Amino acid sequence: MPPDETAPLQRQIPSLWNLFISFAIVSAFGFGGTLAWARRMAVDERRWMTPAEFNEVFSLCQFLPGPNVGNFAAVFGARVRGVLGAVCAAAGLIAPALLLMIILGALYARFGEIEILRRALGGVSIAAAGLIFGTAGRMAQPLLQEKHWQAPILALAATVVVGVLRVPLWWALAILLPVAFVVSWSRAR
Amino acid sequence: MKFDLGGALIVGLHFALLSLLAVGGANAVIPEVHRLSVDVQQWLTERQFADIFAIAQAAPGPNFLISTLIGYHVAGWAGAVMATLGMCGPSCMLAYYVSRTWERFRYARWRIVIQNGLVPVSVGLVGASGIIVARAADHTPFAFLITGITAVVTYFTRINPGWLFAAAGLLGIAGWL
Repeated sequence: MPPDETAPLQRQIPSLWNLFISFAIVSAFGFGGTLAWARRMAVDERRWMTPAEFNEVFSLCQFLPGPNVGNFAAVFGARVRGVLGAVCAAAGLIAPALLLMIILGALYARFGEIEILRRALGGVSIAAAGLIFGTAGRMAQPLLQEKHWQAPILALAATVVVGVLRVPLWWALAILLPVAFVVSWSRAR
Repeated sequence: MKFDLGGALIVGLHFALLSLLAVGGANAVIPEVHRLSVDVQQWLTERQFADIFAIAQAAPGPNFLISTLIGYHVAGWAGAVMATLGMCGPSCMLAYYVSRTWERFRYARWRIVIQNGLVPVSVGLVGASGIIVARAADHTPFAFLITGITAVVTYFTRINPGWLFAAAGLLGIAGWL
């Protein structure tokens, strides 16, 4: 079993500086997409959210337009600290990445090919794929605990339709979301 | 260093429009980014686009960074800043307002129904992105093994994945992957 993430939360409200720094760390470490690192920070390390709360907020951010993690930073920051919290969290997420990209962009413009960098980054993305799988597994835990068999099946269907069959996202959502809503509607009655 | 404010504003505006179409995250609009920057505006050649895409994918940080790199390429650091703000700003503001409305209906039945429908699909999409990254990155059996180990470690432990990333990066430099 994965580590128990259901222990009671501290529920301390992060300061603005805390928000900035936490999301800056997420950004600086976020190889292979920052979702896994954002979840690790908010659920595992800082214990600001339960796994179920994370799924709730993240799913909303995923279906709104724009970069998911950018949305997540803004929404999470706003929940705990209002507008300023949103700005600090988003700024934290953007700042280190922006700096690094300007440096890499300048290096690329100067040297064009950076074989050693490319090899290192290639190795890292292999591990990053595993990180995403592990995180998907952790995110699935609240679904499995609810004891509604439909939810894990819907999740699996989304993985197969988009990941294996490579159906364009818009089509996949146009098919999967109505089914998901009907299922959850019939459950709520 | 290159500095081109007019170019930066144009890049920023283009990415701001794109970001509002990016349902499902920045990677969902990659084909459109390609069309815009290679075909329509001719900011980049095919080869440059492929390189920039690879750098943005492999570097740490959120996956909207490809816009930052394209902005840098077009108009120097001002372009990088404007492209990033364009990609994040409008969508962050939208997310902020939607989530506030969303919170207000916390106990409304329609919200609970939508929420319970969104969450499993959302979790499934994370799994799908794992498959997509693995397909792009893993070319050898040893690479699949590393991916598998990282997945197991992430799932079962709280060990910081940064260590596995460092190891995988070194293996990559050594040419073993």
